[in-house]
Amino acid sequence: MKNHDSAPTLNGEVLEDYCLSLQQLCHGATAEPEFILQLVEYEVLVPQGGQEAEWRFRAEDLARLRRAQRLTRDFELDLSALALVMQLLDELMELRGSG
Amino acid sequence: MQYKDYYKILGVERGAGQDDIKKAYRRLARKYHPDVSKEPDAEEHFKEVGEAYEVLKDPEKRAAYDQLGSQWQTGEQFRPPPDWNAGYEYSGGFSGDDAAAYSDFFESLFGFAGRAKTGSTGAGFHAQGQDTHARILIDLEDAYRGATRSISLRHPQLDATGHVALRERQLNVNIPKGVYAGQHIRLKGQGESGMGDGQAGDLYLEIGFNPHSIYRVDGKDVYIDLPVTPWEAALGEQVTVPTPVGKVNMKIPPGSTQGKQMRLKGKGIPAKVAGDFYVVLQIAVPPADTDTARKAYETLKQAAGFNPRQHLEKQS
Repeated sequence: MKNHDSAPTLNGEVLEDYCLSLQQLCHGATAEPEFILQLVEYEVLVPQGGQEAEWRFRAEDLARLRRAQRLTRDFELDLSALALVMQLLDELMELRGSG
Repeated sequence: MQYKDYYKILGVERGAGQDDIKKAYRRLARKYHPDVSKEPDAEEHFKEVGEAYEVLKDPEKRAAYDQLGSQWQTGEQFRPPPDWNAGYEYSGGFSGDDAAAYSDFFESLFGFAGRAKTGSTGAGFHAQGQDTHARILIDLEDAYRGATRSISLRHPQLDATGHVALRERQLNVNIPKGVYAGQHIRLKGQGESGMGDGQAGDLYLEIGFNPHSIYRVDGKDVYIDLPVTPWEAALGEQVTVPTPVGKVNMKIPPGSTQGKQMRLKGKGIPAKVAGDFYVVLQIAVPPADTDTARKAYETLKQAAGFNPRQHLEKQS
């Protein structure tokens, strides 16, 4: 990757752990709130905070949510199959990472 | 533009039934889906397979595609005949959000019809632009020092005539010190443009690391395998260890064993709460390739009386 002098250099905001609200997560991944509620129900996403309005998700959950969207769409998964696939993928990545 | 043989991509006959097409797609999706596949170029393959399926699963699109004839070869230079698709009506067009995933070939055949319909910007209509996301790979050293990286993004955009064109955009981004894989950087207003007076969306950049030749990273912690000699491990020694920010001296305690981990607290990725740096000892065995070395091993054998398999012998 090379630098281009023409374009200005942008400063972004680094998202810290548990910083995204339900609404921000929806908008960030163009997802329906209902889908995210189901992912929380099946513990694919585990936010901090008690009530929905207080939920805070990790920035990594954005990538996780997008993966869940792709898998659901491309393999026509229902929620419990999705939860299983996500869990197995987590384990697989852990194994590959340490292997 | 190059012709694509969608039947060949799915590995089915031209006369294949819809069931066979669906089966072939499902099989190839399991093989090449970028979220599950270990195949090289999985993403490229999956895009091709998805595109082929998008056309062949839909009887109308399939009929239109078949009308082009079977004399074309994959990769052959192709231009659609003037009113080749007259009489076909596409209900779908692009499905989902990744218009950029389709080839020029696909877009020339089906793309415009689908997009132009949804892209009507009526007077007085305002909508916030969508957030977009991209992944950026940086070197571990960038996370220690901070860096500026240039990325290019491709956005599908409607031109004045309602056609979809891919617009390439170059961005320079400051990567602040202390970021780690999986973290996101939010760039306000760098997502898709809004409609009317609507605000532009945000761009979420996900950080990933390029593989490193000597370090491994786990979250904010960084690991290095450090080869040591048997006598350094047994007797203890002061050694020099590379870290992403320079060399450090470290004392190996006497009696260290294979795989022993030594932690340099706070020397991992310098996030708000810094990670740790771990040195993992790997005992390297010197070759017995001279008389002197062989004799030294013999002497050690006599002196040590060491049996590393003692615990296995008790088993039977």
